[in-house]
Amino acid sequence: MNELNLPPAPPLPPEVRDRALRTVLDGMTPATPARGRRWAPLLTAAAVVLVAAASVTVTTLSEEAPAGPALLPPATGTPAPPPTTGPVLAPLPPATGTPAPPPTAGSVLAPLPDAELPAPSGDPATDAALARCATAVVRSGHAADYPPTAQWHSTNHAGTGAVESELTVDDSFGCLVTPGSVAVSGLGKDAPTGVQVVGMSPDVLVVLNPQGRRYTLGSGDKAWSDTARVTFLRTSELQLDGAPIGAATPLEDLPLSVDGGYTGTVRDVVAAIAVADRDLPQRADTPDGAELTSCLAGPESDRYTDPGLWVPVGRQDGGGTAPGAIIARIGDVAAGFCVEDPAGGPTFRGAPLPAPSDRPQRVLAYRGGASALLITAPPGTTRVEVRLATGTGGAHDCAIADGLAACVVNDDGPLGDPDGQDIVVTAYTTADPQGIPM
Amino acid sequence: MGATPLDDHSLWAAAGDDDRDTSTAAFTTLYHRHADAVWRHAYRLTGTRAGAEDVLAATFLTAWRRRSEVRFVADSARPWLLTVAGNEARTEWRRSVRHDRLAHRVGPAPAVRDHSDAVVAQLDDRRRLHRVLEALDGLSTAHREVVELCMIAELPQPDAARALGIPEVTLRSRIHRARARLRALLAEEDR
Repeated sequence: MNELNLPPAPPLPPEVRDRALRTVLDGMTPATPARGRRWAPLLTAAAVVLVAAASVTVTTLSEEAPAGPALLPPATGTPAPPPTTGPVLAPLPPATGTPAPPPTAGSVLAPLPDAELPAPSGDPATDAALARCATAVVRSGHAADYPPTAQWHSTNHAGTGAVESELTVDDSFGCLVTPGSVAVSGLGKDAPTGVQVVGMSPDVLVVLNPQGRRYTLGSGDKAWSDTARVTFLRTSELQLDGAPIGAATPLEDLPLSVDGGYTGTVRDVVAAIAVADRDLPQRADTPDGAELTSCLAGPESDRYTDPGLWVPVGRQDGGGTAPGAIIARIGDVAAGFCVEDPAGGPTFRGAPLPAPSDRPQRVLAYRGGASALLITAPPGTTRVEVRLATGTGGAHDCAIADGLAACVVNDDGPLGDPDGQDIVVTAYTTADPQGIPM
Repeated sequence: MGATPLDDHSLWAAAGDDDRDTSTAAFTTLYHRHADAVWRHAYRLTGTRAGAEDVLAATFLTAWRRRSEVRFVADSARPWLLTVAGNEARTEWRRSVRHDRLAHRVGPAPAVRDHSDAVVAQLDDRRRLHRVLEALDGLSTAHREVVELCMIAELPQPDAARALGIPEVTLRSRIHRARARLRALLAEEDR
């Protein structure tokens, strides 16, 4: 043990020693020199499917389109309907019991025949994400650019789907799945540098490395070095000479080196195929909406590809004794809140909604300068209250709005379980008048 | 009488030779000379065999690519190689943490990343290592580098200072501050 009481490292296994050396020597092998050549744009068009009423139009970006991630199209030019209007989405597949709806339920795209859908993986969320990606590729006319969709398999799926998730297919390409849209990268096989950077959304990139070479993207402390064939990155994880990526520091100027050949800059960021495959209401221009917009843009808040999908449905008014919160939804897909955290400022957190139930269920716990819990409040919920686990200060009511309840307290107690167990939330329903601890 | 082994200085110069066989042979010798030390350091900074192997390979590749930047300490490239390993390990850590963060952000689903190859036998050891790595991630770059070299790799302070290219007095000051910061970070986790 050393000063930090770290356990000793095991000895270097001979096979690891040899394998790592082979990797090193392979990486030292120079390929055909690539410096000094101008690279033509790799993909000169991206198909964007716009949803407008009952029609579907396909827009192709020209070669002269600005480089950078393809932006999602706006949902409509008219004010969003109030959230009580029935959302077009089907509920998420339930955990047990009732049969799951088709994986592309709620989509405005014609579903693929079962024979063209990827085989079930055993995880409903992954199946739903794969199905949406496959449907988007086929319905946008790009099926010929990919392996047959029925043969697709997920090789990595980070997230549970619904809110946002990053799906890697066959260790070959990436698919960013959001509540209202899907963005699919190409396969990157024609990248002259061996590595292709794809803009999936304003914040999300995929780096394609079909040959599995070691590459380094960026410079300095935030340089990203990897050998993975498909890597999802946030632009916030990269810097150029200490400056964050943005208008003044374009992604195209990031240094890129690929073992065995290329040393230069990214030069081209290829646009993903972006498809808005669900018709979801956008946030209206209201005071709560404006406050939520600001909160979602805050430095401590979760990042979403289309933050405009979060629609405020109610408020927890702290009344001076506790921080406030704005409760928000994305249809029947996700719920979240913006907590007025005394420590970090307005902070937004969201999570997928559980399958519907007649009992309140936890959606999301927050722990920062305040402790907060978001639960479902199905019909029959009469009251929800919160108190500190230490018992000091008494209980106070949580706000109930649109089938959700938000409970927020100042975190006056000692630091404890990051799931917010320092607070006790009790939901009272007509079926359980004695209260259900949450 | 056998040939005297070449020192790191000479091998490093040979690694930059135009003749590919000469450069490969020299760099391979350097690799075998320092692989064990880099591996141990990489393992302590990643906590898994897979992560340590990735960092081991990445360290030497980066070292070859940046060979003009090497700093020798008493004719040894090892302290500098350990600083390179620290940078590579940081990328590996960010990569693993990023997947976990995304999984937590969107809900209580299984994070797909597989940690089944972790070889730290005792759960306490693994928790401890994870907590230290998280605490390291909370330090500034300057503080993290000195912690990695002096408190994890256990290099003598003069060697660490030379490898980082800073005066010893600066290194001692950073160690002092880093220790205080680590104590605070690790103590919060203990509550």
